[in-house]
Amino acid sequence: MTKTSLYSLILLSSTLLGMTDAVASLKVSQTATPTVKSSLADKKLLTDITSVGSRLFSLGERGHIIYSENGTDWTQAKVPVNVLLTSISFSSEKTGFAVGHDATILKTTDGGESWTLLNYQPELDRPLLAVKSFGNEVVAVGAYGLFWQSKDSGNTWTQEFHDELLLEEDREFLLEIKDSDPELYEIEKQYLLPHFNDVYLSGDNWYLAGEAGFVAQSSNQGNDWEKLEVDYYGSFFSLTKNEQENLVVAGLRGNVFEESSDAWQAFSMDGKATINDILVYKETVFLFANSGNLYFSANGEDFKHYVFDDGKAVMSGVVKNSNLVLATEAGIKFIPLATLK
Amino acid sequence: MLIHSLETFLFRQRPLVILAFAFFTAVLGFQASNIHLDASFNKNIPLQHEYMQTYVQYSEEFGGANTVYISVCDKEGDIFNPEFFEALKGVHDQLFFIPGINRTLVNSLYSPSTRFIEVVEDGFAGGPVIPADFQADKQGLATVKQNVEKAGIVGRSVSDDYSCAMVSSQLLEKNPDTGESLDSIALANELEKQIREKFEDENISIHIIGFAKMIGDVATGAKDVVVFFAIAIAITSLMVWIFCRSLLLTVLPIVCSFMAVVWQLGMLNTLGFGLDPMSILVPFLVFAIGVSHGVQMINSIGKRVHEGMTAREASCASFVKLLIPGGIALLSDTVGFLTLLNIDIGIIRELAITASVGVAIIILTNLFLLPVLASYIDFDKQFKAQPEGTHDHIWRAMSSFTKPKVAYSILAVTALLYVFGYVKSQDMKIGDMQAGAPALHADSRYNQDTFLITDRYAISTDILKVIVETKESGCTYHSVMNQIDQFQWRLENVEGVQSAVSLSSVAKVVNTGFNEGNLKWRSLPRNTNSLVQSTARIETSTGLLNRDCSVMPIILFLEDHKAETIERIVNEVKAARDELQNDEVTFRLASGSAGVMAATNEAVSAAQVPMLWYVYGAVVVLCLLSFRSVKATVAVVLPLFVVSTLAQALMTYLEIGLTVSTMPVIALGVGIGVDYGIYILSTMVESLRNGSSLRTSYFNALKERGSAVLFTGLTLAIGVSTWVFSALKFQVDMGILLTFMFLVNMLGAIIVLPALASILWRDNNKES
Repeated sequence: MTKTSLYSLILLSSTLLGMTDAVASLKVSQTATPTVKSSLADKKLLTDITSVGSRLFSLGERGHIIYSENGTDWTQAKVPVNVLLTSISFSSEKTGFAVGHDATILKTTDGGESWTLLNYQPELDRPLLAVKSFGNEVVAVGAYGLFWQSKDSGNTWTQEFHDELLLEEDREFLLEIKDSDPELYEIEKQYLLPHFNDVYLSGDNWYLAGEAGFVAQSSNQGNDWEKLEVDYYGSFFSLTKNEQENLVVAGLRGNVFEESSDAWQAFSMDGKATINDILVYKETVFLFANSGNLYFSANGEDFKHYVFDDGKAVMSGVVKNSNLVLATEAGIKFIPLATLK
Repeated sequence: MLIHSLETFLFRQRPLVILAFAFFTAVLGFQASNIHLDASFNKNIPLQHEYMQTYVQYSEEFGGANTVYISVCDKEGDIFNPEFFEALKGVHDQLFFIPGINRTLVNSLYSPSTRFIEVVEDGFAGGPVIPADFQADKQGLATVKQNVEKAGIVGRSVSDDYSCAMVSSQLLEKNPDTGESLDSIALANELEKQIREKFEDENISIHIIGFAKMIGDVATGAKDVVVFFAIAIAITSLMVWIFCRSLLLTVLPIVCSFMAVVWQLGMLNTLGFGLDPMSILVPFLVFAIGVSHGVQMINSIGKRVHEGMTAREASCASFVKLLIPGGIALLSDTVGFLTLLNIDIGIIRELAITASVGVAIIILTNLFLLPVLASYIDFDKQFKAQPEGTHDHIWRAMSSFTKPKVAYSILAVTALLYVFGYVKSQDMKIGDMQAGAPALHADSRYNQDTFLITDRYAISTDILKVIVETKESGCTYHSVMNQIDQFQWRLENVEGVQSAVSLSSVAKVVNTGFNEGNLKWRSLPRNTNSLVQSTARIETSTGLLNRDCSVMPIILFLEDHKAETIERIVNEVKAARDELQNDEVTFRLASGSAGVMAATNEAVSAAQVPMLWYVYGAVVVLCLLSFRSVKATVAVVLPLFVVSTLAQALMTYLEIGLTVSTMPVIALGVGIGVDYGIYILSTMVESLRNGSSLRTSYFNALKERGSAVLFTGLTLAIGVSTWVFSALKFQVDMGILLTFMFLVNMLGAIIVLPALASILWRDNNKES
């Protein structure tokens, strides 16, 4: 059932191309349209949910960011954009970040009630897909290896390009054209990296998950990266660490891999639904998946299966008052933890 | 002078006159025997309305609003068994071959356009929900079940609880081969015979809804109308006999009125019209109006015979006496109904022609032929010897209505009633008020089927389409697609909109598919290449775009089709249009069943007031011409007007919405009511002009015509009241409304009219 494979470490000399191309390029390049208040905000597509202090936050399409104290009554925040938002993360009860399409980066300093636009560049035609903040560190990642980082809680940002994350042949190709055709180099550079679908910060150790079996690790807060080889070529959408501090990645068609003592243990979920997010709550691991699927395991080994009748994708979830509160394609949903046995 | 020469001619050439009538009756009777029920969807639509121009312009590309839905249900509650799929395929294939069905738009699990898409590691996988090699075995059914879920068609092609599956199609208004208009009633019969009879059995139930099926069921119910006609005629005959105590005098008004109906139907057929099931009551109204005038005639003849005249003398005298008031009443009806031609809805125009032709014919049959026939009657001694003036004590009592004190009380009560009626009539709802078809009873098969379908499926059959016009290849521009998306979102937020779909919202879903089914990509790509990728595979058969995607409808599914729901949404569409419309994108109302209803409701509510103006205008002008007196005109029209208002209040009370089929009833009510007033007043005015006091004049009028008026009102009311037993809800409603109008108009003419007169002719109102 389980399949193991060695992952290889590809350490790259960061001096070959210069370590990073750091550009402070955050800007609001076009006038953004603010979101409109809607009573449907908690009933339509929500892509992420998080809990900070006593508050829950969720966000989704049309610039909707909503918050709630109890999980049932939601208030819509003032947001200066109306694009699809994809990820939210708080570094404190007051300060948080949200990202989304058109390379949108939003910041709040009043506990999520109002948000300011730090970055909005529709002409990039590139969504940010995940954001994590921890202390003063903020990392936002997205399509085609988009990677923005701030070390001062979002005041200044750098855009990073780590060529060590490229495929070997692409890296060599870029190296070739860098001097001979600088223009082509700039263009190619933008499209050779995979989509970064998730980022996870754990002290000095940072991790990335992405398109086509992509998983990477940095042990020095993102300065240097190494790719982790997993024997799977489908995309990963989420990664985190479980109770045993083992890395868990999950993605397309119900594929889950857990790293333990230099080997990856593979799990395959019933119904092969694509997994959007992982939640580790105490010992239990929850996997939120498309087509109304929810998987959970008390020991991280044997997964059980719950399916919502409406078949709407479950994007993310948090535990609040012994309920699982879910962000789904059809808005907020609830399940009492007791029913998931 | 003219009347006298007419009289001379008629009564000298009696055999010739009778022969001529007999001839026409034979010819038109033959024509009438070929009359058929005829209903078409477009006839119910105001085709000149702004929305309907859009509807007509795009009905070929995006289908009309005339859809038939067939839900095939498994009685055990689970469709995944071989018998069910055999039946479903049977229904799908059979529907395909029924004439009038738009074959390209037949939709079910079995149509090739019903596909699913799933994301796999190396891209998309997909196919028809029912694979080409489908075997209805355990494995095959399990595959189909999975595909149904992947395709996301639960609630649309399959009911929420998997107990039913839907086969739907749009109908062609015109047969493409012959160019003939769709025969909705024949189609409904075919559905019943080819689908329901063939496939319904102990395991499978078939539920059919849609305009064509509804009108088919109404037509079936309308056939019972003949029985109700017969009952009404029988009751009327009996009452007339009790009234006049002469068999021959009884037969005459019945035969002449019936002849008018035969002529009317014959004329309609000759003119190329059919009889719409919703207008099937008009022939009865013609009969009723005919009886009303016929009874006046025999009443007058009878009275004169009692006074000692011969049959011929009495008939001549009655003809001369009644031609003017009767003619004026019928002429004002005719002209009043003809003015309805101004209303741009096919079915109302047809009704205008049907009703006005019928009423005009009554002039011939009941004012001309009837006295000629009556002149042949050989009255026996017993009839002649009947004493005169037996009811005088009643008429004397009633003549006190002209006493100022009594008159003021009557008028005060009338004013109160009017105020009450007016307030209540303001609550009258436009359009349909119930979920199903208002013409049918709630427990009818059709409405039960409607309730089942609304209950078991998520998708509503009440659809409003907003047509978006833009430049060529508009769907490849983010600015265009985004504008559509914004518009759609605004409307999704309106109360009463259940869900919405457009090329924009589908493109977002496809874009998700191209990004491994990750919903974090459910957005419109900025980049034209990606946008093309997201829209290129969407076929025009989805009804979401035309060939060069310069036109893209936004389809709104509504919670119901109540007029206020539709109105609220239409208003929001207009507000959103004003805000979001620009040089690139035009939003146009409307198509879809609710779009048609929106236009119809607006046209009906816009036509309501003008219609009454037209009808009353005709009555006023003719009264002025004939009485040459403003006072007399006021005395006739005012009670009528109060009754019209009260009838509207009654409609509110009975929860009858104002629709193309119920609206003309108010106008017809005026036609029914005007007779009474004119007959009473014409005698009164004559008497007044001879210098009699008002009270005496009214007494004379009652003595001369009162019994006929009272009697007609009662008789017709009793006849019509039997309609409450009809199988058609529509006929029940009409029965109540008409009973009300016959009775209350009569009361208005004999109670309110004299009271009004006592104020208008104050100078004559002094007791001697």
